Amino acid sequence: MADLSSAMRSFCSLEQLAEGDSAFHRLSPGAKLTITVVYAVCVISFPSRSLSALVPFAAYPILAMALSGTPWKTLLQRIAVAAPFVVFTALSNLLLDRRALYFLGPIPVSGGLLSCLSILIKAFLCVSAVLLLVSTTSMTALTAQLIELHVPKIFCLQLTLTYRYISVLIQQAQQMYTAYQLRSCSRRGIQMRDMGCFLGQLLLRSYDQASRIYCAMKCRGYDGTYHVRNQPPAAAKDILTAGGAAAFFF
Amino acid sequence: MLSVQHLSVKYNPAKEPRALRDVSFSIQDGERVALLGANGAGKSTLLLSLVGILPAAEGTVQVDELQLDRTNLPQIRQKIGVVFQNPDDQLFMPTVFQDIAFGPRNYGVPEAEITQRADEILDALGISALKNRMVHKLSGGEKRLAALAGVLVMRPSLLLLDEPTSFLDLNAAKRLAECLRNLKQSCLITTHDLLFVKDLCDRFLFLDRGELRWNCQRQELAGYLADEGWEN
Repeated sequence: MADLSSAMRSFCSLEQLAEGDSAFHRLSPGAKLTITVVYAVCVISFPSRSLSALVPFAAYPILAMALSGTPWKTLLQRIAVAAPFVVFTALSNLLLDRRALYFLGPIPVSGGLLSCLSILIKAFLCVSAVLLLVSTTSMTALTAQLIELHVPKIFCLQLTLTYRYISVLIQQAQQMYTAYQLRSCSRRGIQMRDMGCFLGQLLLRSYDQASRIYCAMKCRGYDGTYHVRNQPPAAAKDILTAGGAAAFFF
Repeated sequence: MLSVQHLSVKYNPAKEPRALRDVSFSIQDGERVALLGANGAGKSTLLLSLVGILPAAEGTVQVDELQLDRTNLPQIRQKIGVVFQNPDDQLFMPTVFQDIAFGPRNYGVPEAEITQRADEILDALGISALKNRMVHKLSGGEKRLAALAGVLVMRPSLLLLDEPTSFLDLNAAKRLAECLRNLKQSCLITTHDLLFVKDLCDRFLFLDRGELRWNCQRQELAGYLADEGWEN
């Protein structure tokens, strides 16, 4: 219950941040999207053992955080969600490449250690950049911009619907969990033997709701094409900012 | 305005029983009609069949001069607006304005006109402050009015409302009734909430296990309810 509530709170907190008003918030979604994509490509493109080359890239998240007023604590909490997957991948490098490249005093530094650190730093930087994009741009503006960039509309609609219904799914799971707890003799969590039924019910409810949503969409003229408002052309300041940032990253 | 003749609907075309059997009624311009009936009587099925979501096994549905068939579903759905029982099924865009704009954009209404229509509707329903709010942060009553705005913005001539008072407290239900009373459109309201429709609607239909049992004016309602054993 506590986990679901905190998931809901954390989901809402990013949205609240996106409603802020700062120099970074006021940049057009297109400029922010371009900056983020170029940044991620540049960060990823460095060889796996060049750690020092990544250091200047830390400037972007720090600057963006300062300009947008995004709390570092909130950002670190979100990065921690992605951390287990990255750490698992990075640690496997330690085992695969144990050959010492050089010694730091008595400590051997293997190629695996360097690539492990490289993966961790790259992941940290890229996830920070994406989170800063999401926490300073509304989902509506972001999907409209993706359509403008000719990303398939069906993908953008899926993104919009997923985003909209995460909260409904969390609420439903929370209600089911509360009902379960009230009849489970104060046991903590969901018993493994009940987990199948619980998840199955959640899936069936989601499926039913998806059918009803589709009916509601058809009732309002949806014929498989997702229409959005055309975005205004990019302003000079947005082009300059995106261009300047891209030049810096290159 | 709406004419339904001998309408029958089956969920499985190859099998009986029918969810609706030989239902006939009509609704005049500006008339507000309540559709009453027990759970599973076929009220929601009737609403969905009026807009072609559930195809008719037999019978006809005519809206103004247009007879419902597969070729004219977009025109029919522009003339008939459906407000679903659960607003979460209907409000699928992130913000209220985005959701309101969804229908008109599908019909190619210019962007400036969509904004103008949305502002008018939000103002008429008294929810202008919600225009840019995130949908999942609205209360039940606000969601209901936002869903209604999303349908009214398409300027339908007939509104179908499925259990409009579910999820609403007494005050929100009163506010909704007031909004509906001020509308010029014809309305067909399915409900269990007699209090809500008693003074709001001009005519009452009673559906029982897929069949239309009675169709009466407001002044005759008390007598029919007494026959069903529902008198106060």
